[in-house]
Amino acid sequence: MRRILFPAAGAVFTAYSVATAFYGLLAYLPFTYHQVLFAGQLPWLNASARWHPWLNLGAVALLLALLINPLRRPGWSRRAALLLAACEVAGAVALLVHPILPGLQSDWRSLAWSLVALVPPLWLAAIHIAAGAGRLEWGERQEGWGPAHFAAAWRSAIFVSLLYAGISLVRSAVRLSPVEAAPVLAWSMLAHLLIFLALFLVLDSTMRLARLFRTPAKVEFWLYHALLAGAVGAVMRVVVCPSLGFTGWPSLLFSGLLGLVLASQNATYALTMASRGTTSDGIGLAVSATTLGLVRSIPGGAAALVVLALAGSWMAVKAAAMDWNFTLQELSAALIWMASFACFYASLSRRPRTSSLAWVALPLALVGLYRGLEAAAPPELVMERWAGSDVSYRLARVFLTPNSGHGSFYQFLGRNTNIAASVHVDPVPVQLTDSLQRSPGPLPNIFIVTFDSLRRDYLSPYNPAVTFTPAIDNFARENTVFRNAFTRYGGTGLSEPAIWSGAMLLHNQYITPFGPMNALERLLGVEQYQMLLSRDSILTAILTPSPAAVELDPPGGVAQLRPGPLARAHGGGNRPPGGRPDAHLRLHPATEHSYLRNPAGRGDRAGRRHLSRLLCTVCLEASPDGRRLRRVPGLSQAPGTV
Amino acid sequence: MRTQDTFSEGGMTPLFNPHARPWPAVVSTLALVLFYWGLFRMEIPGRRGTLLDPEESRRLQEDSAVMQHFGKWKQALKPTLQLHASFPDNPTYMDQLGRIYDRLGRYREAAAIWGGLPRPLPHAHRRLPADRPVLRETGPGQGGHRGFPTVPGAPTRQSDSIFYLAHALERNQETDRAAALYREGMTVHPEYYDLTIGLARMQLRQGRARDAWQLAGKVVAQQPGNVDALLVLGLACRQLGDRAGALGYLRHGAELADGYADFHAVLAQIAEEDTDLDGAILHLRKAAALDPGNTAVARRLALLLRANP
Repeated sequence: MRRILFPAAGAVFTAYSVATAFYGLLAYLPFTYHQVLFAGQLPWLNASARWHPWLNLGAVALLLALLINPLRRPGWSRRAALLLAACEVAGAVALLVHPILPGLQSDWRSLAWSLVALVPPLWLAAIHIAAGAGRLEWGERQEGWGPAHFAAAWRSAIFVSLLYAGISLVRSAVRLSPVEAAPVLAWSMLAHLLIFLALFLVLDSTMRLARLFRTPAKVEFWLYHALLAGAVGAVMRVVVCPSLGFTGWPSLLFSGLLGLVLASQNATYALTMASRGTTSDGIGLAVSATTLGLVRSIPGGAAALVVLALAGSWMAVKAAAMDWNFTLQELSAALIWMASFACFYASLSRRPRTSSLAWVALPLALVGLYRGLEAAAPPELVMERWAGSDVSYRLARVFLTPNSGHGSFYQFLGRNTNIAASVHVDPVPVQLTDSLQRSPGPLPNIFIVTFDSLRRDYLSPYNPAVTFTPAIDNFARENTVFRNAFTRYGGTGLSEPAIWSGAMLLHNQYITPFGPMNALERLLGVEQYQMLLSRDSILTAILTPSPAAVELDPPGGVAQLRPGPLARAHGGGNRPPGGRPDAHLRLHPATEHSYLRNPAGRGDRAGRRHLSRLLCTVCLEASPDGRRLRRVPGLSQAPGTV
Repeated sequence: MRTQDTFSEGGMTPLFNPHARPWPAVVSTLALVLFYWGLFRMEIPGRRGTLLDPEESRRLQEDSAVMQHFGKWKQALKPTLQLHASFPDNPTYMDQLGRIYDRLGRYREAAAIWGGLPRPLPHAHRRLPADRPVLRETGPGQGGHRGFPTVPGAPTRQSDSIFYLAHALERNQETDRAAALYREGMTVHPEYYDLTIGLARMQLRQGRARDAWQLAGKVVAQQPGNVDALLVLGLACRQLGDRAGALGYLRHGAELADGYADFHAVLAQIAEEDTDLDGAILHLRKAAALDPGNTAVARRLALLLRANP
């Protein structure tokens, strides 16, 4: 029981620390600070920040329980445990008096707290590793019991390649003819084989280097964990950091520290399971922690792989329904890669096996094949489509794509964009015309309905091959479609202010006060339009507070597109005395994210139907035609409308 | 054999195994290095898009653009060739390379480049308003609508690419192929008069002066100021023996476009035929000033100057 409870408690403490670190990271990054924390996109996250001092108290109690054994031991581990306990207790008291997480801003302090949060689990792991490693005996491999890294590598490659190809085909995310499917699957298989055989080469080199030492199993074990830390850091750097706009040395530091924390956690668990035993396979011991020590035979490994296949499928479907830039999907694929290799290794290392140096020729031959095929017949469009549904291939492609050696232009962009909110930037007046005067005669009602994260090639007015947006198609037919209109920026937090200013802006969320730059708001003011608004966090930041503006939604309600506010808008009962009978209505329902977050976890096809309904709703509501606005209440009955 | 953990014992057991053989570790590590090099560093000729990073591409584009702008075609060739080698499907680089070959007089290479350009040129809409619907539907080059097929029924070859290919064939003295291509282009884009005039020029070469005269006449009826058509009309009249008509068209063309060297070159020939040595020298001087690289004109002028000291 102790073997289960102890690692479980350690895992909970590590998870808490990593979660705290990620919260600090979300606060540090301008994009996530505004779009996730400030906008309240994930209410449970903001609530957990408020409860953080009390959660921390529980984590400290857990930590003290984990430190009982080290505190009983004499020597430096006792002193290290005492110091850690003292720091944590003092920190817990300080947090109760002065909570930190709810007040974090997008500045360097958030990054510092994020990094600090990763230190205790690393410290704890070091104490336990020192204690556990001392009790373990390291032996040498018996004759005929070679490592299973080669067999595990190629089997894992085939397993994950087939698993994700199957998921993709079953979900019908990409329709391929048999003629197209064969080369796609072969190319995906080749990419996976390259990735896993690269792992084999790294491990092979590690093992053979370890044999130069007197205790090869021990050296293998620690070199494996160094590699594991590097692999976790690399996945963080290439998958998570780019999606969040997290670059430079802070991302390197955070990724490296996170890799160390997770690798040390793995080492702690492996040593706990093997305590007072003898081991001759350092990598076998290390991967046993990943499989929770449950895979001890080939049938056990097969059962674990079935579970992995189910878990992988479930994660792929669930993550696809709530993902951002493929981040969660690629992370889940990375987890499945690691777990499948561990399962294969753990099950195959239980039987005699010979090791041959000649195996290293296979990865080299495959590299030649890959590069040759790539030069002769590069897989372009069809593989691009395939990468959109097979996230494992997508992840493999990330690692197989050579680094283009970001030049000075990109370094310049990296230094001068994504400016933290803590950096104050004075607004520059945006004057699009010399003299702004009120127009004579009646003015039209103006409706601005914005969607983001919706590509134009998914809308029939822009792409005749699209058949699933009939309502927006009808709307476009009776209106003017601007085919060469482009957004200033590829991010909501910058493109929305750019719509209001009509100009390019610094990459800063947000330049405040935004009033001098807000050309559209000034124009509406001169024309005496009355604004009826659904405010999201961006509008809250950039619009000048005005009692004349009519709020269509309660705070936080902007994520839901509802007909009620529109009906009120149509009624126009809130016009100020003397105001012109024109309404400027701006909706930003943020529905694209709501749709992606729908609790049913709908797949692409269901998502398209849902989107089509949504567009239909917006078409009818957005038409500057009073009769159509009257039809709005009926739409509230539409199933699936968020 | 078991080895007690040296850390826990605190003893000074040797760190390395004196009996271990190092070469398997060396071979394995070398294989790893070779794997990395083969995957990321080895350069394979003809591989697409990976030899150049974006910044290097930008530098080459600037080099090429500046050299082309100042007419340094030879210097523009190298960076443009590098860009084309890395992005062989990019119509912009094909377009530029075709023009450079054309200017360098390497018409065979120009024809090969234009022949491999089945897609719309990115700037085609500027030249021909009638192409806009096609561009709108097919997108400005490959990947306009990723994931969706190109609209069926759209012409596979664009008017510009037809014209440049035919022009290159014409310069390469492949008259019949050029004529066939001009005719094909005319069928698809009848309002693209450069194609019509090109066909008329080929008919002149084929000795079909009457057909050429009719075609060029149709263009002039639509565009009275089209100097290319006036030149063809002048040449056609000359072939048909209508010297007065030829002089009329050529002089009118030279008035409209005084900087068009070909008019003066042909007028010089006619003046020579009329034994008007001064008139021939006058036109050849103008032609030589307008087209200093034209060695045939320069040679003829030098000859006539010797005849009229």
